[in-house]
Amino acid sequence: MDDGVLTLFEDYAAARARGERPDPLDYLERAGDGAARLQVLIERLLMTTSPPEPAPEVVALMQALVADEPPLLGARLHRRLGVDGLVDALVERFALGPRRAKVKRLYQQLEGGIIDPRGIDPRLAEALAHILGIRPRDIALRPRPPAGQANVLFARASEGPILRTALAAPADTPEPDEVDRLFGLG
Amino acid sequence: MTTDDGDAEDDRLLAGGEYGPLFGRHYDDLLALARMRVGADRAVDLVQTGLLRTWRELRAGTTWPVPFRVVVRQHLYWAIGDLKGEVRPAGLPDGWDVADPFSEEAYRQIDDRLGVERLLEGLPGGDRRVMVLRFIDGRSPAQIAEHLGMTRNAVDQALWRGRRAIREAWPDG
Repeated sequence: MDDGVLTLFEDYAAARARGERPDPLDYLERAGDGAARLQVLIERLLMTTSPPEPAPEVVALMQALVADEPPLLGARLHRRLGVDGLVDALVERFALGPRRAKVKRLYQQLEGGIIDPRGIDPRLAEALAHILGIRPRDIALRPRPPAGQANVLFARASEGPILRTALAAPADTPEPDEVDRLFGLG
Repeated sequence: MTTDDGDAEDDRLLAGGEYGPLFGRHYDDLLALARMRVGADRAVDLVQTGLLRTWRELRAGTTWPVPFRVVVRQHLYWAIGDLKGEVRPAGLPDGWDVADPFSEEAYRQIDDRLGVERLLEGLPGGDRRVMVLRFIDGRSPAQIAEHLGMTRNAVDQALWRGRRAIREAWPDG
């Protein structure tokens, strides 16, 4: 076996054991032609070894999930962070002071499952993950069962101008702005 | 922490109703498996679908004969199978113990086992015990005879009747 694959595998296993929540896709990409072999090794590791202690933020996400509450809300409350505090952090991060009310409205829609988290701008996912102490990939956890098991209405730009306008843009802002783009609505 | 220790910790959390920490212990590994199998875009959805299935079964009072880590992985795998349009069993059958729940062979074993178990339910008691020992436990006719205190001929007759029932139930099998 390629030494590079083994090295990557050992790195992944060590990072997982340290509770660093490594993303296997990063390792597979680095493995190049050895990706398939590395995937087999990682899958065996995940199948046959006990998981490390979960991060408290992950426990908060899961607590919310089983309580049928929005996972983002669970993560936010775990941080003792009010919605205004979170919105302030976003506004500062993206220099959106004049658009604060809209940021708050759309964040609440995101947290409540009205806006599909999979469609948000990666910059917003990164920012939320940083604020909440989770990974950007965790943002995609939704407050209700995924499609086919729920009647949550998700808003995405691809789903039509009427829906986009109704959910995202007040009457005085007909054109999508930076806030719309961050939330995947423009 | 060894796998046995991990399973014991899962059992402790299950018994205490600490479902958030219990699911949290497995979330990252499930997400890692899903991301490698289906890519980043669908992984969280599938993990969530699998965990919610586990959660529904827990709320319904389901208990499993296999470690919790096996259950949540199997539910993830079924969620992935559903994504691909595959039809899967409604739940983990009693006594299910395949070594690798991610293998296609595991699915075949589960499906075969469920089918055989349903069929065996229709057999007379003595024949059913013989067939269970043969097809579920994998014992030889001689071992069955010894275990049940029967003659080898009686075991062979029970097996013959059981096989006939299988042929009648699955004429294309």
